[in-house]
Amino acid sequence: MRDPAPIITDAHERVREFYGSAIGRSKYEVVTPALVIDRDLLVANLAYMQSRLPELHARLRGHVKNHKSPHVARLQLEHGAFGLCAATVWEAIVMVRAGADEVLIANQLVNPAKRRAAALLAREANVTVNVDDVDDATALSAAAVAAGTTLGILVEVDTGMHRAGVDSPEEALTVARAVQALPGLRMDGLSGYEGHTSLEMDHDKRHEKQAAAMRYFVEVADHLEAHGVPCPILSAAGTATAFWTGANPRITELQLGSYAAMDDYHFLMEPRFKKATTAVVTVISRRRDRVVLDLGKKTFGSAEVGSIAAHPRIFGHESLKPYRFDEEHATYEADESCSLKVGDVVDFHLGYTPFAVNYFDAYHVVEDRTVVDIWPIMPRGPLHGGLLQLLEAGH
Amino acid sequence: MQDPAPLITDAHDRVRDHYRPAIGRARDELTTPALLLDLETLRANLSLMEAGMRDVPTALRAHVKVHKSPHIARMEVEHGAVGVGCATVWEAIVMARAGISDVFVINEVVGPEKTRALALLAREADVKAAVDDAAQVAELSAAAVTAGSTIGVLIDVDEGMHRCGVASSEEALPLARRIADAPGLRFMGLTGYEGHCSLEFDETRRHAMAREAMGLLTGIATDLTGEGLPSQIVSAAGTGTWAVTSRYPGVTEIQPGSYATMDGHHRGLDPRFGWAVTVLATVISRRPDRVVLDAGSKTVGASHGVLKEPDLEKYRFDEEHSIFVADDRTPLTTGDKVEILCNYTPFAIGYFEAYHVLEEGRVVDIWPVMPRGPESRWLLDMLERGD
Repeated sequence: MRDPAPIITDAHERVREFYGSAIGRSKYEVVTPALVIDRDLLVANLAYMQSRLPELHARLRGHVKNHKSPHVARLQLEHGAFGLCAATVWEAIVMVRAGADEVLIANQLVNPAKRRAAALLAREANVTVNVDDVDDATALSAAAVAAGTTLGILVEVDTGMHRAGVDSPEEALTVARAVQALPGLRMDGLSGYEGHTSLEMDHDKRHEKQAAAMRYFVEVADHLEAHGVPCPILSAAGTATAFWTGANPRITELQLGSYAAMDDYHFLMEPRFKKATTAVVTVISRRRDRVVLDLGKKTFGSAEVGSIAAHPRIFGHESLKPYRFDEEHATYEADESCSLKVGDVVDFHLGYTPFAVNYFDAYHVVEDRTVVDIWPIMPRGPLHGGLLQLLEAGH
Repeated sequence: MQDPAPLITDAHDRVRDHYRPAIGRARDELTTPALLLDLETLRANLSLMEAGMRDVPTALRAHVKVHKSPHIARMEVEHGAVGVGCATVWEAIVMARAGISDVFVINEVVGPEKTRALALLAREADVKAAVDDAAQVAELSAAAVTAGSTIGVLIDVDEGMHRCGVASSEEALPLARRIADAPGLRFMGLTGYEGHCSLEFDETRRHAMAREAMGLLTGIATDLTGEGLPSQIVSAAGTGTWAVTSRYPGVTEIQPGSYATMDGHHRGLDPRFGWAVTVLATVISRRPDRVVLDAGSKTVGASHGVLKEPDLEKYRFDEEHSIFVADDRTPLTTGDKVEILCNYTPFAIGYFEAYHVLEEGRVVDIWPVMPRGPESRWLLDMLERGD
């Protein structure tokens, strides 16, 4: 792993400047709402995953979309991950500049600027991209040729999630052959995230769906290989299916991400990983029958994943029933038997962490409740924040 | 209105620098996802509100939490707003530095650094905040005394929304006395947001609910006046109730925000205002039965959205993707651009760094979203340094 580049160290310095007065203080003394990551729990999660890797056939490619943190990504690489996985090309740029040599953008790029960014990034690292369309592959090839680079390509297979991805072994073969024939592209294999299984809370049903998805995925690979298209990489899995998919002898790499920072949603499915990411919040109003906190949906995001409740809750007061979540407020039913009062600073379960992380500027990193560092969230939000110009200017 | 301070002009320069290649381009040439602001529709919305306010006895206080844009806030003041409403002290700092002298944090401000920020800001602007509890009054008073400033305080009244706020004159009176006696604070009146009415789409019922809520709010104001504590300001309303509340006797100002940018939820309440803000997305995957876009829950936000055109049924929103049902009769192909009409725009805006501002389908400017996200402690440092 290379050292972090200036865009990472500068961002780190900037957030330390913005929020550094919290360092050395108790997490209950910081300005709320604040996003908190417990370093010990984070490292414990990473170490647990690393300890399980020897028994799995597949390698670990740590996904970063959940945490958007160059610091967490580096820790993933130090704990057994051979490379990283990103949802956007902007995340990929950040993670390569954080020091990663190997990154998969497990998504279609399509926009000309995004294709160009991926092609330019391939000058600095091994960059792999998902495709499910011959036209997209052709345009990626042109971008790579223009940049003088080679992009690795995984043909995305819809293994039951019904998002992107080819629908049949025959379609996979058509796209794969097109990729093989295009300059600047290297046909590396298949990508088949079984994300629909992470919406199935029942353990046994989830396992059945996972097994069916991977059976189909391997069939597609068999079809390609029988027609002379080798698939050295078969990439799949999320935190809720990692140990099942990782034990499949045909799957070569796992692209899970939530295992590192975790949240309540994933904890319901995989309690061996601990909730390292939480928030601290303040009670700003106390009425006879309710308490009101200074965070709402513009802080923790959605209270649901699909149609499944993600359970944003107050630590130590988990039984309080949500009354309503507004933009800047979370209101819970609480009669006088609840001890909370105006000014109390409490820990908060965020429900589904990625929605919250994307609203924040930085993590308050704590050890034993004391803030020890501030880590930037990069890239923040859906825009590129100048990353494209950075690559185009050759910086 | 004063000129914008360097905090604002620097942010404007920075986002123009980040997204400069987009300026002058047509909508379909933009990198997606992008937050689009149609200037013509925005101006029409502001003019419509300005015209509506000419016939009513109340003043307009524009709420900025919806758009978080110093540029839009300044336009709102140019279209008749007496000041702005904010949800957080960080928004108040940004808007004061945008040149707006009357800023009201329509929320309880709790915690030593937030109250210090408010008190320091009160040195440079007319700053007001809401309270519903004696502990908040004590904290605000101590902060104002330390900063040598005066903070205007309004009592938050729960008109039926069941969030913050006192619910009776019996609760309001001792609190008003405490504010009036607290050094560094000035008792200004009452604030009440009838947000529960904005969840009722039947206009007749909604208006009846709003009148009931205003009866409660102005009744408390009358009771306080009777005790020698007159309210200079009685503030209420959102975009869903402004037409009723702005005419209600005893109300002095209304505090709507969504009228400027709009979204699906508020269009259902008041369709006279046009859809000024949308999210531009690209079709990144085209399957036989669906289209997949590059904007999901981490772009559009918790309340999702619908397509401006064509009219397609939602299949699912994932973090980075939205999926719509589309068979081969729908002409969309990979690479096509579509606009998403957010059901609730503030959730989307909260994720973005900037607006792509369009006129006649071309980008004419990039405007920063400020403050971004829930935490902005550095704005307090700026005030403390005296910058």
